[in-house]
Amino acid sequence: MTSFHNLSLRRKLTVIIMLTSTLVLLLACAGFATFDLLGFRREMVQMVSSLAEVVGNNTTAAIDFNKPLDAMQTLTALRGEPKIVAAHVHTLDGGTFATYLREGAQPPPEVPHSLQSRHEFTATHLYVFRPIAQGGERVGTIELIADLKDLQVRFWRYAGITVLVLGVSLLAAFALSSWLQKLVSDPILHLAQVARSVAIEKDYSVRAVEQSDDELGQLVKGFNTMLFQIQTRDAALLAAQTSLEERVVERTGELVKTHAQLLVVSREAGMATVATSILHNVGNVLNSVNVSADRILEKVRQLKPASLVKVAALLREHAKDLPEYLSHDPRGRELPGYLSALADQLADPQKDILPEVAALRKNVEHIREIVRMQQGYTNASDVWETLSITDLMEDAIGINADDLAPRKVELIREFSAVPAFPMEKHKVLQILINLLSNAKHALDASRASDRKLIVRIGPHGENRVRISVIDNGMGIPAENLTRIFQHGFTTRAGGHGFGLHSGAVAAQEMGGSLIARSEGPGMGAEFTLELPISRQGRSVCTAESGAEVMRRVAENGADRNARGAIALVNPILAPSSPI
Amino acid sequence: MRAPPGKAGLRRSLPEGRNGRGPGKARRILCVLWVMAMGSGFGTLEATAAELASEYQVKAAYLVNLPKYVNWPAGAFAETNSPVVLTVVGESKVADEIPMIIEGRIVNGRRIILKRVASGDAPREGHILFVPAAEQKRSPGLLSKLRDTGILTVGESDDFLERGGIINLVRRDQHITLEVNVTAADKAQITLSSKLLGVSKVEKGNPK
Repeated sequence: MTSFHNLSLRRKLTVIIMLTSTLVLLLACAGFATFDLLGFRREMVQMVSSLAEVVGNNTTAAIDFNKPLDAMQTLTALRGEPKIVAAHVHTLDGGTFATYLREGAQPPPEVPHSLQSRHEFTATHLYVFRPIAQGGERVGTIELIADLKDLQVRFWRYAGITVLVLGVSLLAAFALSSWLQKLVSDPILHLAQVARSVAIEKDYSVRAVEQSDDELGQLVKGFNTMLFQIQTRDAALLAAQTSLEERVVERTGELVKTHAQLLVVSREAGMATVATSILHNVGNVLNSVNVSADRILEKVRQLKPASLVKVAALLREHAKDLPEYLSHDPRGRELPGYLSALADQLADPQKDILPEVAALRKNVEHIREIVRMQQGYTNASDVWETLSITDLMEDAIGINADDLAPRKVELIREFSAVPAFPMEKHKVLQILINLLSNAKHALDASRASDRKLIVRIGPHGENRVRISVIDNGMGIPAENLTRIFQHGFTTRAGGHGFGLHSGAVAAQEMGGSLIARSEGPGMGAEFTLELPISRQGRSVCTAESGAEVMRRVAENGADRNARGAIALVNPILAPSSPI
Repeated sequence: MRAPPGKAGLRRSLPEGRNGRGPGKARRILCVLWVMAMGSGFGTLEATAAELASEYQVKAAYLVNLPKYVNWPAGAFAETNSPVVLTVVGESKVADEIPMIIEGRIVNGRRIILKRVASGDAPREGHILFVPAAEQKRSPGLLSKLRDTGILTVGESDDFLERGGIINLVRRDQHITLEVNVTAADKAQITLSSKLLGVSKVEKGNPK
């Protein structure tokens, strides 16, 4: 069957037609032959039956009056019928009364004879039994035996005719089908050939030729339509590809331009960040500077230089007779005492002013450091000093002290001994001031009566130091815990959203980390700064150029604040049309 | 004509049949006749007795078979199914056999009934009249009384036909054969079937 499946269409059609023709012819021939042979047999039975009746009828008297010879003579008349090879007359008891055998014929095999009218075919003979009656009374049975040579001759003649007809018909069918099958196979083969050439050469411009308007014609039409569509689509695809390439080049150009612009923008953004940082940090310190300046002003106001001027005027007035004036004039005699009281009065404020001036100086120094540090970004010089973190913390507390004092905040120091380690002083200081300032604001907003601020310093592991600033203030909602480190995020009305961001960045730059923890609103917050004791593994950070840091700061900002902010700065970034 | 070879083995030292017929065939036919005539029971009799008995039986059988081949003149039967009356005159062994044979037999739609009349009677009714040889000797004028009565007369004497009988059953070569006087039959307006004539010896003697 597989081999048949693989035959070519032409062969298949031929085989199908030939098989069909053969089968049909065989069936037809067999049908005709069977019909004819059956008819022949029926006629033969009829003929032999008639003979049997005629002959049998003529033997009745012979049987009734015991004349077997007469019966035999009657049977001998069957010589005229060459088909009949033998005949017997049987009596009612089953005995044979008379017999006839054709000259030269072999006696046929006996079959069980019957008293009833019947016939029986064997392979070679036909046996016909007919009752013999006279006067309505059975007297015996006659049995005629005919040979079937005629039937066989007829059968073989039919076989011969069938073979002959089959041969001639098949030849005709083959010739006709070879010619006619082209009507079907040619268009299909043509189509197959076109399809193959399309498949191999990928040439969709070829077309199959329509040869008729039947289903095959429609097939060819459909195939051509398909080819046309593929061709059209191909062309469209090619065009699209070309234009796509152009657009990609165009877009790439735009992107390169945008990238350059972005670089500029981010640099500018970095600069802005730096400026904000400076303003923020300087702002923090300026607060303290302001307080110190106010106090100095107040103390200076308490000084009474007018009295001194008056004394100086009196002394100048009595310059010529000063001893006189001092010893005799009543007002002159009081002058030394007055001067001494005045000196006392002047010395007192000075005692108060001097520390304020010192603090002022320190703050101004910090401001100078902040500015210097920002300048340091540009020339990539970090100053690493080995310092005591507790001292630094005290400095930070000192800077915030004036704000903490009037707020009735209990400040608890939990300092464990930690070694001095190298750090960038002003970065750390900045972070600490920031944390304290945040805690201060958190406590301000809290309604709790016992406001506590715990400052804890302790070692963490072998190589790290942990500085925690813990308050029981307003706390941080969980959704804000991650956002507070984002650039520009603030919960305070006057906040910049910069302090924690820059603190975290600074901590990272020093190889440490800044982590916030809060149980939720009203539950307070804990900020932990972790710094490494040794500088190992931080060289990469420190070696970073200022520009690099700025760029990263800008990137972080860009990342976290979505493109809207940047798009505001530079509208070019907003995509004009999708590629 | 030769007998089929398959049947030749039956050949025995039995009396030769006439016309060169094979003895086996003859024996078989005899057997058939016995059975036809009297059914079973006689095969054990002694040969002579058997042959004798056979003759009576054969004749009785012939008598009973005759109506099939005979047409009586119109009016011979009252009804279409009136029985055929077979009359036997005087004593005869043949008559003794007849009742057994005719029992239940219907020929041409008619039963056959046996009627026995005393010796010397000449009944002018009935359809077949059997005159045994002894009765023929005893009353030779019997037949003349029955002329033109439409009765089929059957006898078994050598001179039966000469005396005007229609059918004579005679023994020839151990076979009972029929002799027919067609002239007498014509006179009695009795038509005999050609089949019957075909197996009979036909005489055209002048009836006396």
